[in-house]
Formats: sequence, C-alpha cells, structure tokens
Amino acid sequence: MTESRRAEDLTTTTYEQMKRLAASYLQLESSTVTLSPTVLVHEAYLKLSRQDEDRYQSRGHFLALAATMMRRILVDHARSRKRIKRGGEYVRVVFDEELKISLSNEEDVLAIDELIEELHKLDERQAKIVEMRFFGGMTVPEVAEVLGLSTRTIENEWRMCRAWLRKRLEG
Amino acid sequence: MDSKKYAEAKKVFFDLVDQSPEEQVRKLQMLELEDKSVADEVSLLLANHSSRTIIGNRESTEHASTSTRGTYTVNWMRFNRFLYGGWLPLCIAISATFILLGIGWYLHKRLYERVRADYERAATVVADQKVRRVLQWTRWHEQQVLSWAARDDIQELVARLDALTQGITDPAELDHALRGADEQRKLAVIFNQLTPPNLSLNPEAEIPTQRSAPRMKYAIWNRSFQLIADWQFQNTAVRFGEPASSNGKITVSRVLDTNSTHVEMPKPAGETVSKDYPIETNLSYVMFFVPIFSPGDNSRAIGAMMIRSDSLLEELREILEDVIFSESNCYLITKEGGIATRVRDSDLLSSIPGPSSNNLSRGVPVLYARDPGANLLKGETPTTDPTTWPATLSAMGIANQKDGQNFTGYQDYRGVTVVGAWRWIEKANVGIVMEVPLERAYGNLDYIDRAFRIMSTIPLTAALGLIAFSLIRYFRAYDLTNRTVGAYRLREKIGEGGLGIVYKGEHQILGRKAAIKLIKPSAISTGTIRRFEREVRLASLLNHQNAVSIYDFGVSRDGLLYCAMELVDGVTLSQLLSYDPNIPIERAMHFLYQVSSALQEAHSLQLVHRDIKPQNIMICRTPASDLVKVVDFGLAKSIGETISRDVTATRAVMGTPGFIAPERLESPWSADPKIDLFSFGVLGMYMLTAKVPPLGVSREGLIDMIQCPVLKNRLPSLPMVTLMELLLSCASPLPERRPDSIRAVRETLGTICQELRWNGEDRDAWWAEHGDSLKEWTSRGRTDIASK
Repeated sequence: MTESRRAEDLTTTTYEQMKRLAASYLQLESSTVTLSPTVLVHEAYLKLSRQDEDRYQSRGHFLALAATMMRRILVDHARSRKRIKRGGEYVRVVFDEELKISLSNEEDVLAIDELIEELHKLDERQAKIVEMRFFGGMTVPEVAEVLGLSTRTIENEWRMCRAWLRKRLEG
Repeated sequence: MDSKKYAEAKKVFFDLVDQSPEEQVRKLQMLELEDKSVADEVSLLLANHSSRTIIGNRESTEHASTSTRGTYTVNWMRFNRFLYGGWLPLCIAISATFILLGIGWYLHKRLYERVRADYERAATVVADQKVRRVLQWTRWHEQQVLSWAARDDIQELVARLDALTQGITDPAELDHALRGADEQRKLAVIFNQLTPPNLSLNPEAEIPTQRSAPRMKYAIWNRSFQLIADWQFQNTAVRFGEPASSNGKITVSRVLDTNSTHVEMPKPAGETVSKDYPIETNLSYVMFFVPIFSPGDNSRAIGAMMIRSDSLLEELREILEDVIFSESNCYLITKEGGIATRVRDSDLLSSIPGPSSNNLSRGVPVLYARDPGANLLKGETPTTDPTTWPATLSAMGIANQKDGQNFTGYQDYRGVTVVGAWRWIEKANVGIVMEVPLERAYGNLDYIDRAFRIMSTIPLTAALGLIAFSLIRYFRAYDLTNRTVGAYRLREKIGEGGLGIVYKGEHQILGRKAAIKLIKPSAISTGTIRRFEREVRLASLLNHQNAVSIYDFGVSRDGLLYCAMELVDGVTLSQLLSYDPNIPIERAMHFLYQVSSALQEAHSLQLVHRDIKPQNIMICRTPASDLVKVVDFGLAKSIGETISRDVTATRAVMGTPGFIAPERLESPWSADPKIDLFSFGVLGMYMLTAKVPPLGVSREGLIDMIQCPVLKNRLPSLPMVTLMELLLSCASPLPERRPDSIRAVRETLGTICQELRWNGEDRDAWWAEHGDSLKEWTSRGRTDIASK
C-alpha cells in the first residue's frame, strides 16, 4: 500500500473516532472555557494508538492526520454553531500566544480556517504547517518529521507564515 | 498576490529575517525598485514578525503538560464552584423535594380515597345485609309460630275457650271461667313443651335454661278482641275476657282480617309495656302475631295468638350487635326516633338528666335519637333544653322512612361524631341504624396520614438544610477567617482591593506566617488561570530583599484563586505619605533606591511589574527600619489582563491613573520594562510633592508643586538637580526619552544617595518617635475605610 493510500485509509477510519472524541469535549466545554486542540489531539493519540498500535507509522504521522481531522471537525462545529447563533458578522480573532484557538469561539476557528485556505493557494507547504501547528498542536520537529524536511526549513517557513497570519489578522 | 509572487516574497523573507533592521531596510529599498508589491509584502511580514514574539517555538514542547494542568485546574475550579458556590445543587434539591412531595401527596390522596371508598362500600353492604338478616330471621320465626298455630290440639283448645266466652257476659265470671278452665292449663302444658328453634349466631353456646318460667310466652285473643288465654293465667293481674286496648285491637284485627302474620319489633322500653299485653318488666320484646284458625275450617280465624320469648330478643340482639368495629352501634329505631334496642352508653345517658327524663312512659325512660349538641361521652354538658334537641341524621332518615348513609360525620344521640348507614324496614315497621364513631371508622387513615407526614418531612428537612447551608455560605462568602486555603489557614483580614482580599495566614504545618491574597472567583475567567499560574511561577523566581516573595499559589477548595506571599509588617507608602506628607528628601531617596533595586532584579528576569504605585510599596520597621518591599509582582499583569478581557473595554487598562505609562493606553498588555520606569518616575515625584504630577510635567511645573519649604530651599543643590532630571526623564510620556534601563536609574540614584544619606540612626529615631502613632493612625484609617 502506498503512503497516500494508507494515509487516506487511516483518515477515514479514524475520523469518526476523532469526531466522537471532539464532540464529547465540545459538549463539555462551556462558552467561557477554551481548550487547546493540542490537548484534544494528544488525548486522541493516546486513545487511538492504544487501540491499534501498528497502524500508525509514528506519532508525528498520526498527529498530521489528526490535525487535518481536527480542522474539519472544528470548522464543521463552528459553522453549525454560527449558523444557529447568528448571521456572519466578522469578528476579529484573538491571536493567542499559547498556540491555541478558543474552541468555543467559532469565529476564531472559521477565520483561521479561511486563512489557511487562502494560504494554501499561495503556498501549500506553509498551509500544511499552519494546520499542523494550530489544529494538531505539533512541535516544529514533529512537523519536520512528517514533511520530511529539516527543522531549520520548517522554522523559517513557520516564521514567515506566522508573520503572514499576523499581518492578515491584525493588519 | 499570487503564489508566484508569494514564493518570491518568501525567498526574500528568508534572506532578510535574520539580518539586522538596518540591513533589512537597505535591501528592501533596493528591492522596491524592482518589484514594489513583493517589497511591501516582505516589509509587512518583517514588521509583523519582529514586533513581538507571539508564537514561540520554545513553548511547544512543554505545552502539553502546562495545558493539561490548566485544564485540570479549570475543571477543579468549576467543580468546586458547582459544589459550593452554585445555586444549581440547591435548585436540584428543592425540585427533588417538590417532586417527592408531589408523589407522596398523590399516593396519599389515592390511598386515602381508596380506603375511604372501601370502607363506605363495606358499610353500605353490611347495612343491607343486616336488614336482610333481620328479615330472614323474622321469617324463620313466623313460619315456626305459624306451624304451632296450625296444630290441631291448640286449635281445638282455643276453639273451646272461645266458646266459653259466648255464654258468659259478666266480666268477673268470664275471667274466672277462663282462668280456671281446663283448656287454659292444657295450653300452658303444650307451650311449655314447645321449643323455639335456636337461631343464635353461636349455636354451640348453651341457651340459658329458664326452668322456672315457660320459655315461650303466649297470649290469645278471640275475634271480639277478648283475651282468652295467657301464659300467666295464674297471675291475677292478668284480666281474662277483657278487650284489648285500641292499639291492641288494631294489631289483632289486622291479623284476624287478613289472616296474615304480624311482627312487632321491639319498641322503646316505655312503649312496650302497655295494658295491651300482659304486664311483665321493662324489657322490650319481639312479638309475633299469627291467626288461629277454627279446627274445622282452615279459612276462618277464630283468634290471634301472640308469641314472644327472651331468647328471641337475645337472637335479634346478636344479629344487631354483630358489627365490624367494637365501638360501633347497631340498633332498631322507631319512626318517632325512639331507640328500641340496646345501645352503648345508655346507662350513662340515663344518669344524665336530659336525654330521657322528659319522655317517661309508665315510669320507664325512653331514649330518643336526638343530637344533644355536645359530646356527652367527653363529659360535656348540653346547653340547650333536651326537648329542643334536633333528631339525629339517621333518626330523620328513618322518620322519613328512607334509606340513607352519611360518611362525612354527624352527631349521634351521644353527641359523638359518627358515620353511619340506616335502613327502613317496611315489613317490620322499624328502622335499623348502624353507626361507627368517625375516629374509629377512619382510624387507620390516621396512620397513613401520619406516615406520609413523617416521610415528607425527610426531603423537606433536607431541602431546608440545603437552603440554610447555601444561605450561610452566601453570607459568609466574604468572611473567610479560619478557613483553609491550600496549606494555609486564614487569620484576620488585612486588606481588600478590587480584585481580592488579603488575609493574614499561617502555614498549617510549618507555622510560617504569610499574607494570602485571595482573588474573587468573579474576577477571573477560568480560561486564563494558566496564564496567572505562569506569571506567578515567574514571579516566584524573584528573590530579592526588596520584593515580597511568593510562597505558594493555587486554587482553594472553595474555588478561590489564592497566592501566598511573604507577610510584611509595615505600612504602604501611600499610608506613610498621608501620615507625614513632608518626608525628608534623604528618606525618599532611600526608598526610591530600594524600589529601583527590586525592579532591576525583576527586569533581569523579564518580569515587569506594571503597577508600581505607592499602594504597592510597603515600608517595614522589621527586620530593618525603612526596609522597602515591593508587592504584587506578576499579579498585576495576569489579573489585570483577565479582568479587562472579562469586563468591558472601557476598563481595559488596569492601574492607577497617573502612574500608568501613556503607551499602555494603546497596547494595554505591553510587557516593556519602560512602563515600570514611567511609574517609577511618577512615584519619585509623588514622594517629593505628595501629589500625582500631570502627564508630561515640566521641570518648572514640578518645582511649583513642591510645597515643603525645607525641600524648596534645597532644590538648587546638585543632587537635587540630578534627581529632578532623572525623575523627569523617567516620567517622560515618550518611552524613547526614558532611560534605557532601570540599571542606569539605579546607578544614578546610588550616587545621589551618597550625598543624601539616610542613616540607620535616622531611621530608628523616626520609627521610635512615630512608630506607635503611625500604627494607630493606619489602623484607624483602615477602620474608617471599612466602616464606609
């Protein structure tokens, strides 16, 4: 099985489990509390890797998958909530220095998602990095491992997309 | 901007990011000539990148553990708030109580209704059955008596006695003839041999043998209503041949005319004994009247026979008194309301003048079923005249010859509240009444009632307890004395601020004294506890004699965020200045120098105080006189931030007006050490002038503000000039005009202090002179504040 096939397969099977896990968290959290996706993803990793140990090549690999899933889950969640709550006025995102998005703040999630989408058109790799960092809570070495690039490269890329995000969010 | 341009920008960005700002500017200017859009993009990116580090790589690795801890703390706090602070458990308890009470009430109501309905049905059925049994019993005896009347020998003897009356007209002669007739004696012999059937409910029981008197008592009248035979024929009080009274004639003629039987149910004692029937005693009787036919012609009645016996009455009583409840009454009653059979407490009633005294008939009292209006059983005395008493409900029913029942309660002949059913027996011309005291009938319901009442008190008590508990908690929420917070037990309150309360506390194990700052739960949003935690951890690294050290930090059981700090025995600078506004310049220098030392240490740890003000500067007497302690390192930032995020934007900037650096108005959470420098400069001026100087105060303005004449005279001196310059530069509204770092400030202050020395002797002398009055002054001030 090729790498991409394998990843796709894993994505579909794990997605539902992740979604359940996330849903339980999202339900638990009241609107005043923020929870880092990192915690969520790490917890998911602990649970899922215990279930079928050999299916994931590495922790990094899993986290990369999880990041994509988390993004989908959170965005879906945010969209549904936003639809229910009100129309779409634009709210400025609080760019948190602790690398976390307030899960309950649907605007945050949606804004980041939009920006990643935009960045994807400009630079695929950077979009991927942002996704992994934000929604997957991965460290720079972990991202480097998954993308098969040096830590130095990722750091540089990260610095740039960070600046870009800041520019877009605050500028 | 497309991906191609972006890639270009990326390349440039990578080139420039690690270079010095000057180099960046230079290269960007070059690039601008080639491609302006890329150059603009990169410059923006670089600007955003360098302005402040918002997402640091170093944090990523320890992130998971911190955030987990934070989540834990958040959950713990939320749990505590739920348990102790929230109204939710109270609401749950109250609603649970109401649900339980509702269920209880419903069950109780259903049970009550069911038991009541069952009782009522049973009582009605029993009443109907009683009527049937009485009628059945009557029919049985009628048949028996009829069979006797049909006996040839009796018919023959009666015919002969009747014949005797035909010839004799003189009453005395007739009486004598009938009394002495042989037939009379023979009849007595026959009736003595006749035994009535034993219809007792208890057939095993031995019927009392009455050898002395004949068991069956009889009397026979002929068609002219003359008494021709009687069981007491030897008793001269019995007059043979005498016609019956009008009442007797009616009964006898009915029997004779219709050839049918007649039952005379017992009458109230007084009415029974009349001259119609042979005199006996005060007993009431059941009497059966049957026709006696002529021996030859079975269609022609020649006389009427009356039969009665003690045992018959016994049997009737047995039937009536066979009741469900021991206290119940079942009796026969006449249309007129006279009670005809034995009833409870009749002795008691006859002893009371009232119920029966006015109804004498032949000297025998008759008991009428009338409501005395008072419970005679309880010894109450009726207030009204017995003749005006109304008939009881049952007596009225019987008077109307109607069946009926009442289960809500009415007064019986004793004034006792009873429930009962009554039936009119047309055939016997008598009513039958069954009554049970209300208390007895529904007595079992009382137990059900009581059980439910006791059971419902349990949830009620629990709910009341919870309410009381919550209220006590609610009112005690702000008095935390003697409560335990972390490892510390709180003693007295020593201060209160906008964010929280400061208590004097003691470590429970070590016994170490500490100041415990409690932050009100309402002042923090749970999401930023993590930040608070990190700040406090950083602040706890600060170990300097002029800074209050932090011992401990955490969340208490009550969900209060607390911070245990070194307990400082002293007064705040603001208190000291309000006590003595004109402190010597040397002393002010001594204070300022110590503050700068603390700030220097803090800034070297990247810790910015951000809220330097007189209230945060403590002056101690011990361990050394005039030792300065700067308090609240780290707390101002994290809590202030929290507050502003939670509360409205207008309150975004925390701090004391006048002491806040102007740039903080633009970026409230700037962590630039220069904001401390500004506050420090203002603090220095405040000490000299006892006033908060306006923003951007000029040198002249500052001199104008100095009130103290001693100080004014010394202004031209060199150290004073240097000091003024230093303070003015520190308090400059523009950050770039301020000294580069606190280190430089401290050095300058150090040299000034060389000139303006505040010796140990001066300190001790001041404290010796003012220490006690200052203490008194501050304590009074505090109580004044507290009383407001």
